[in-house]
Amino acid sequence: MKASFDEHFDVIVIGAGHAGCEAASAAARIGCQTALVTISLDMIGQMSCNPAVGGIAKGHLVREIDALGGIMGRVIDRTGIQFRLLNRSRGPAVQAPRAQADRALYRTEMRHVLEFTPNLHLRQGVVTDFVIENGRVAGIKLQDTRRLKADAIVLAAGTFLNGLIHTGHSTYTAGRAGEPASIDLAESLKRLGFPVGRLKTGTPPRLDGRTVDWDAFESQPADERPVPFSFLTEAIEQPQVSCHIGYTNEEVHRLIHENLQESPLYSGQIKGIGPRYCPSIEDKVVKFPEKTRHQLFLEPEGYDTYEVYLNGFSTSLPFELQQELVHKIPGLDQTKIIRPGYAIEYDFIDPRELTPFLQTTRIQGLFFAGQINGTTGYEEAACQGLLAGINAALYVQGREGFTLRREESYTGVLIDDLITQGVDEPYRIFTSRAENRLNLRYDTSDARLSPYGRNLGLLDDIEWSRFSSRRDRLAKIRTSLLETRFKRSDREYEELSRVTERDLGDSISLAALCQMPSVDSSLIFNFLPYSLRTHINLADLETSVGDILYHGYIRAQNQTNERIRNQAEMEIPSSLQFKQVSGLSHEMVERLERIRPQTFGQACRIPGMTPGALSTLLFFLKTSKN
Amino acid sequence: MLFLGARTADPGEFTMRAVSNGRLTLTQAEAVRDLIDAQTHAAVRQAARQLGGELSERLQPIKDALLEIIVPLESSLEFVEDDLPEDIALNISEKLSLLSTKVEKMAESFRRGRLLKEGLRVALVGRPNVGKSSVFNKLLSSDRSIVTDIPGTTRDTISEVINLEGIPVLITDTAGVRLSADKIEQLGIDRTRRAIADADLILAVIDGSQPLTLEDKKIVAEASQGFCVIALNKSDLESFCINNAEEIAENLTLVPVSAKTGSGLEKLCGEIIKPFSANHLDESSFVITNARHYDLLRRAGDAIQSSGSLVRQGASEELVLAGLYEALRFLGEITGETTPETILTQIFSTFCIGK
Repeated sequence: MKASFDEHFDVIVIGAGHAGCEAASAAARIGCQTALVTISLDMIGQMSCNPAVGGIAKGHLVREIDALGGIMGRVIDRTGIQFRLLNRSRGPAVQAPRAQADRALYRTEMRHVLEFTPNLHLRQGVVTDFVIENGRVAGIKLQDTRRLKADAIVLAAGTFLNGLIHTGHSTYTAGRAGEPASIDLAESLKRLGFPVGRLKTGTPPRLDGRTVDWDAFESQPADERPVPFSFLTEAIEQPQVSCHIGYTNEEVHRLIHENLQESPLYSGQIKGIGPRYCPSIEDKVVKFPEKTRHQLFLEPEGYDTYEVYLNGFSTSLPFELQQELVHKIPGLDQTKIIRPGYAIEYDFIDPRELTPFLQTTRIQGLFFAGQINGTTGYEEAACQGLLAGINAALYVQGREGFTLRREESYTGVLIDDLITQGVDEPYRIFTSRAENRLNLRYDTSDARLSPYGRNLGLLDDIEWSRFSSRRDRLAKIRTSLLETRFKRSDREYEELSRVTERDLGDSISLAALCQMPSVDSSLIFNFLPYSLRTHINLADLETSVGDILYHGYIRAQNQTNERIRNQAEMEIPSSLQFKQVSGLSHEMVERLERIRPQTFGQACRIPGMTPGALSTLLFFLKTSKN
Repeated sequence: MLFLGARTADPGEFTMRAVSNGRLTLTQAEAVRDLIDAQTHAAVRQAARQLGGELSERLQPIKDALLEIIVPLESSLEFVEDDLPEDIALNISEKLSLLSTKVEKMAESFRRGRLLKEGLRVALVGRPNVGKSSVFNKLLSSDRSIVTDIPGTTRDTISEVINLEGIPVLITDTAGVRLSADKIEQLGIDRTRRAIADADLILAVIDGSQPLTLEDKKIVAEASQGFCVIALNKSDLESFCINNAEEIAENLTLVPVSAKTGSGLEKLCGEIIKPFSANHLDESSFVITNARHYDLLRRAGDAIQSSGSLVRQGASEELVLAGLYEALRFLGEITGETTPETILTQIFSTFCIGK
């Protein structure tokens, strides 16, 4: 065995998926010599499942990553082939961007971005073990006997740890179709005592687009005005393509029912728990027998390929059956499958092991990000990768860790949920998971998070000046909306009351108009002072209108949040045994006993204390005082 | 306390998790306190009921109904790309107003709940010499189960507690403050007015042996602003005539009594307690006895109502949902939290979601 290391780094990131790329990029830009180690340099930023980024809540996450200085938003903006803003007819808090990606271009662009990042070093190799010294990570061992040294390691292994693929009755170990699993590394984690669980996810078959009768499907075009993910993107200029929507039918369902024993999901072969919101077609048919059809999306894999992703048809049935089922869908009766769908089981580690900085409590300097923590989704992985990369760098530099609060970000909600609640199925973000949904809009993530990104050194001068100028424009628009007022005698008043079809009183401000459900930003735009109109874009105005629309709700929410925080100075008697506080779970009692806070405020800052537990404690303190 | 303008604790301050380890829930703990404080049998029964978690049980259908509205609204926001039924959110506005009425009705039972605990306040009013004090004394003597002297009150303030149908009733004879000198008489009238303002019910005594005077009419007019019962006294006299009171509005409760013989007294007692008795309020006789519960229910009702009006204005779902989640949180402070996980679970079991 070699005694010394072949190379020395500050931070090593294992895995070059969506978590690993963000982690490596952030650590390097914070100033750490960073190695990104991956099994295959050709698969950097690979989208293992559907070729798309964003969606409700997920799009919010990408915007947050971008606002902090992460790279996912910038890469998808250059490689997206169908952009759509979802929920356009609803309020801005629940709108979110989504884009189909050219899978290959996304990989290429991601690798390009990483290769041009100073301090970042790409290394190919299979990691087999950690080097641990005195309870801290010291480096990693590779299959080819190389040893790499680092003070901090971010493990972002995705589905590779003990990955096991199922198609029908056949199984084989793999991290992803066509790539080897990480077996040794998984065993190493078990040896270190990490509590390992098993999850499952699946993917649908990919089709030969030349054999699809496209006329049998409804076309879903891109938005005319594509909304980018990154605040730095001026406009999406690449050509946009369409997706196509179709449906399964009862014949398909019958065939699935008749062959359920062929599905490893129903034969008992798969032990891991799959995500409820990404059900396989087998699950859909079994759980909703009354539905006569299930929606399918035919998503193009890229500009230069005829490969088509059959979204909505995730399955682990045997290949012949998959082909037979596809043929029963009108328009796909001649269609050849070029890659079969499959299910994959993989190891994850109970995320309650982690600190809010995504560092393990077991081994110092070891951070986990992405699917290893029990999440599903590229965006969920990427935001964890970003935070883990930031914290690994801060750890190496001896600086205080960085976290985000639930009230200020979906990233904060996600990480807090993971480390306090743990997971019993793959965790996906939803807007309803956030208590302050109205305050976490996709178009305010810059205002919420970019100042942090700047402090961390993740936003350069040019990026920061773009942020500042948008902030200034928004301030000007806000003032103008509040101050511009039309009296009954004004020419504008007449037009406004005609458009809104209501009496607007003696006078009406633009701000008041913003709160009317029937009024949209493009209408308001025409009534802004000319001098302002020439300096702003519609997106700026939409953000300001949203601010005004939700202002009252957010103020009320903030007051509620404040109220609890105001109790911070209440003293906790040093003699108090927390298990005597009725209503606290064992877990919360344990956390409190470990830290033994002296004030309620300290209790609030203990990682993982739930809002419910804090209220219970506060109620106890208040009532026992009297 | 709530009626003096105080406000109970804010939401969040009291958020309690449902206790999984078998200890008392917050609702139960509060019921224990009420049990100790209970003054009369009816109150004891009521307290025992909440100890059994009946309030939580009663709120469950309301929470379920709220979730039934939240689930499709949330689904339509969160799963916009999924193939959801088109009629997913029908009649939301009607469902919401039905629900807010239910919650408010439940909150309103607090009035009776408070009466069970604190007693009903009755002010005895009437011009001089109509027999107020005689009626007062007769009411006291007819009731053999005088519960207690109210602390801080003595006979010379002329307040006594009697027990009517298990409810403690505090009767104040405003005559006790009435003296002959003009100036002091004015003071007496002021005090009478205040007693009227504080009372849950006014018992106006009128001399039925004489035609109505202007003062009688004034007193009746004032009394009839709230709950009131009119005792037409001196039914034992020959000159007593029910027609003497014909100018009194028909919708007011009028009981001929004789303080001298005691005739009509039982009916009078019945009429006093009637607006507050269990079957008059709610056939189930379930009542809210805790001011915090009352406040939370009222806030939940308000939140549901304002969400309803947002629906009618055509506001986007996330705004409607903001109020509904708030209502759920208020109800949750009585019965235990509803987590996002619960809602997601319902969504996934109701709709086929996911690509």
